[in-house]
Amino acid sequence: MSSRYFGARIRRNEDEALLTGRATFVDDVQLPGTLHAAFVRSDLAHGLLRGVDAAAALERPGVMGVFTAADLGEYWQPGPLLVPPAPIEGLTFHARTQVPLAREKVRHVGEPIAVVVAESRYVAEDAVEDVIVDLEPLEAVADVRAALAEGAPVIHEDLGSNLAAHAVQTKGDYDAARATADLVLGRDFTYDRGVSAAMENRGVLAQWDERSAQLTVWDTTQAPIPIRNGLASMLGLSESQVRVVAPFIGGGFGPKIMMFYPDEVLLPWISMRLDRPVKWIEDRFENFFSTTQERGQLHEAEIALSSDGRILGVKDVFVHDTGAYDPYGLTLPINTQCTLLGPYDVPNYYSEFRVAFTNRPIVTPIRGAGRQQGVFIMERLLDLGARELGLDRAEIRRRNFLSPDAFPHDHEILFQDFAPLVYDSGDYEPALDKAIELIGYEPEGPVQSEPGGASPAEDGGEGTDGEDGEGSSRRKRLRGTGIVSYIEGTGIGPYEGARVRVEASGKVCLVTGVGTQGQGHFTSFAQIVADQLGVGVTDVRVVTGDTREFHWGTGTFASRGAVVAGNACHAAAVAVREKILRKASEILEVAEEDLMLTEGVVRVQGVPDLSIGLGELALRSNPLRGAVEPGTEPGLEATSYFGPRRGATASGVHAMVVSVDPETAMVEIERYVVVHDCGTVINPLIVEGQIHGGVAHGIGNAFYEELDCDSEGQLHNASFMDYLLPTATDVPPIRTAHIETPSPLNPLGIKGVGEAGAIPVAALFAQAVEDALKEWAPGLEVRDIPLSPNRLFALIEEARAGGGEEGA
Amino acid sequence: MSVLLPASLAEALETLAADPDLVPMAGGTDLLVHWPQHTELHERSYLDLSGVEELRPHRWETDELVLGGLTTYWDIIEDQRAWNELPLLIDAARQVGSIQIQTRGSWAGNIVNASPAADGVPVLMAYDAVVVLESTRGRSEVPLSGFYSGYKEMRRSPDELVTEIRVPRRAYDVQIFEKVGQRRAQAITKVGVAVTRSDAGWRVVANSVAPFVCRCPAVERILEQGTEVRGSDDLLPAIREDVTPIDDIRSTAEYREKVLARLLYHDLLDLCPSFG
Repeated sequence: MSSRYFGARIRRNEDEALLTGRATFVDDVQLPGTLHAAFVRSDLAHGLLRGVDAAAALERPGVMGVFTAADLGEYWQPGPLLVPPAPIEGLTFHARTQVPLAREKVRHVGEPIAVVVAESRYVAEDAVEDVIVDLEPLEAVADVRAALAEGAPVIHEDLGSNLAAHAVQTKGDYDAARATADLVLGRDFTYDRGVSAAMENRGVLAQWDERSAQLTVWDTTQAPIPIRNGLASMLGLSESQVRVVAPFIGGGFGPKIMMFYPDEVLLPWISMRLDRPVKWIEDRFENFFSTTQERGQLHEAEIALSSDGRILGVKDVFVHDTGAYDPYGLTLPINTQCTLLGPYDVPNYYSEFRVAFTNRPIVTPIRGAGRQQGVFIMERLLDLGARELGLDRAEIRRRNFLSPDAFPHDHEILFQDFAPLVYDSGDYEPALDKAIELIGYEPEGPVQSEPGGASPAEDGGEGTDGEDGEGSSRRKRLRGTGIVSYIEGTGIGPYEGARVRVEASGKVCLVTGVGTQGQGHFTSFAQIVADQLGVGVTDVRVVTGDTREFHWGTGTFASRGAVVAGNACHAAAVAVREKILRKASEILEVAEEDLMLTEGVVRVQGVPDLSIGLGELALRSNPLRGAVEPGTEPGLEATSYFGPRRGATASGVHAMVVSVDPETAMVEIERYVVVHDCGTVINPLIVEGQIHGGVAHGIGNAFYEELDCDSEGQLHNASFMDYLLPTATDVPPIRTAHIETPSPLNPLGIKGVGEAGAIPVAALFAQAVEDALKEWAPGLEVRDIPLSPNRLFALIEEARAGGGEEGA
Repeated sequence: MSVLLPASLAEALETLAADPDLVPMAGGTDLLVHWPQHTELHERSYLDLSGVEELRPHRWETDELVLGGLTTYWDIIEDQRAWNELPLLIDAARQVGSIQIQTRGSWAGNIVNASPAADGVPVLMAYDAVVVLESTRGRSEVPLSGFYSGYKEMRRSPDELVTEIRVPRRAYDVQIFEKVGQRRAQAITKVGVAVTRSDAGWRVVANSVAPFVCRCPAVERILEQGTEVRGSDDLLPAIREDVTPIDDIRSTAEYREKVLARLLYHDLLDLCPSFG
């Protein structure tokens, strides 16, 4: 096999359509006679639903129907538990999944109570205002700690408390390790929630066609096949009667996976009842309530170290906020639990978590999916340990890295896919060295600089930046560097499939079941196939996300598209290549070993005149006369599946330089470096794009994005005016370098990369800011994320008030 | 909702005199921000001034720059004389939203929207701008520093339009504008300050620290009198006299007060011998 494309920096096949506005998104699908839906949503975070009066709404001209839970009859049922809990010994788990429309009570602000369907969205929105909802307020509990306190209002009464789950996973004996430690450090940490803020909100268009008895649903889902299967089952249809199309989607990030959101469940049902297409496009305000969120956790963590900085053990006890329901099972806290261990040799580990229901929107994975929190805890503990022991921050990491010969490494606990947490491969030290080189990190000596001396972090010379438009600032800026490591379990099963077909044109059609939300599948999958079949990368037409085209599969999540579907594409292409060579060998009467497949033509080595094009070969593989021989199939086509035994472990080191204005607590990221290992790289351009987006996402989470929710569960900043995403001026240029340790778990050696960029940013930000402020605000510790400018300001004030005058 | 589209200033003033409940609208950039949540706005009637061409141009007189009622931020950003003579107008204009907003949003709209966090108002006030109001009853002039009387309260009668903003042309030896937002661009001000010094004396104007953008007379007095200031904390008593910051979603009163003091202190440290 030639490798012209695999590993090459190739521009994306899909970009022309995307950049010229010709790509189809759900809202671009316009069907004649479409009705539009709008939701009546709860204003209260917790309340008893006494009644819904839709009479006035139904009288409004243009309104075609108003549906409440009572109208759904048997169709009303809680959503599926998407991920059953892993078989952890002694586990407690209570599944309480979301409902299509609230029936007896509401459990978070924005929970749908009724859906209005009308001739236009305008009429539907007006009619929403006509619906009278009789809600009796109940005391709400929005804070995860308060939710588990004695006497807290209970969100799911039958449970008697808000405890959704409790689990303990251990390795070795932490207490024994602690007893022998030279240093034990404990801290509390919090990581707060945010939204995923995909550029495209969610949307559903459902069309029931009575004549053909076919349901077609266009859905911004990351997992069209499970949605098809679920809808068929709920609606009593054959899977062949339901087609779910996930066209181009403007960002997935997790909340679009396969939730069976109320809208996804209701619109098909309504379309069948009214025999009209029905569309709902989420607006940004709704998105702050109706789409899932993530990352609220409180940790009490402790690390036991030897005097030379070796990790003897880690103990972490945390509470995870799942919001009003827990359809995603334990994926998030288990990811936190597993990812905390990082690239380090942790001989003893005690990890215990409780999951709590709160009166807030539902929590499911967002890019990183619980991993951020684990990385934050471990990296913070190492930073504190290094500071306490007088060790360099990079050095303490180096001393604890798993060595390259430690793989496969079994951490002796269970991962989210129920398989033991075993790292397949990795080599962490070269990544650290590379990051140190690229960022220009200066190792710290064992002793801090003397009091009163010039601070190496202060840099008066370049303090004022003429480009930033921040006026005539004469204030000093303090510079700091951060460097952190992380691992990411990626590419879990169960499986994905792909079908590759050479057409009579000589071009190739590649179909896979996963959906695409901007990952570059149209290019990376084409690269894999093009190399096998000796065609150009633009000669491979890729189809994703249409259940009519491919029946089997799961979806795009957990950084698994390239790993699982990519390897299925590879397997199918290999099978087609074999068919090509076999057929060409028959026709040309030449042994297969003497054939070459390049530029869409099968040639005979050393005989330039003897060749056959792929199109001709495809035609002759599908003859108009004659029978298909037993044991053969027509066409140059193959379908293959790939399912890894367990996930592949990607890893990386991120480093940044920040400058902090200590007077205003504004932080500027001056430089950012990512050294990344996602196994073999299919396309560095796409990998870098994924990383850049992830880092931007992480910067937002670390510093800017904060949901301002009060104790009543009311959100005060449900708009992009006050929920601040990082803009182009807040995200620095990012330098990337790749380390490749191929995964032994799949033929292509790939590890996932979609979430990677976002995972370590908060940990890195915290370290870099602390470094910048180490003399200005002695003793300042960042333990809470997001670290907004306001919170940082308070930390600086506190440290300077308490830290004494020794720096002056 | 209805929208009236006068073609001349005279028609606009007559229309407004006939129905003072009309909401005058220039670029509409503030209106659209509130539109989705404030449904009561949907029932109002609007006087869209975009067709009143005579309000658009700005002009340079011998001793003043006169902004029209529809002059946009971008109009000034494009004017080289403003960069040379009144650079704070440029600094502020470039802080407003995005370029798209800068090309639609007007200085007069920024004044009458009366946001405490307005970006355009502090620099106009620091330049002693005067607001020109017109109605069918006649014309009046109000110094911008005396224009506001409370949160969203101002000396404009419902039948009056802001037709001009007159900015004196003076020689300044100090011109400072600082804005602190939650991120570097497209963020609403948490605390901001504009400072000028000319023959007319010191002007210190703060935003996002009171119900409306306001001068800080106590701080100005410190500067005029050359009172010794040894650190930013020395400015706090005067700041507390001048402004009344609050805790809100974007920041805290403590942050606003202290950062205002620090911005002033560090910006003036090299300019005022009394600062040390």
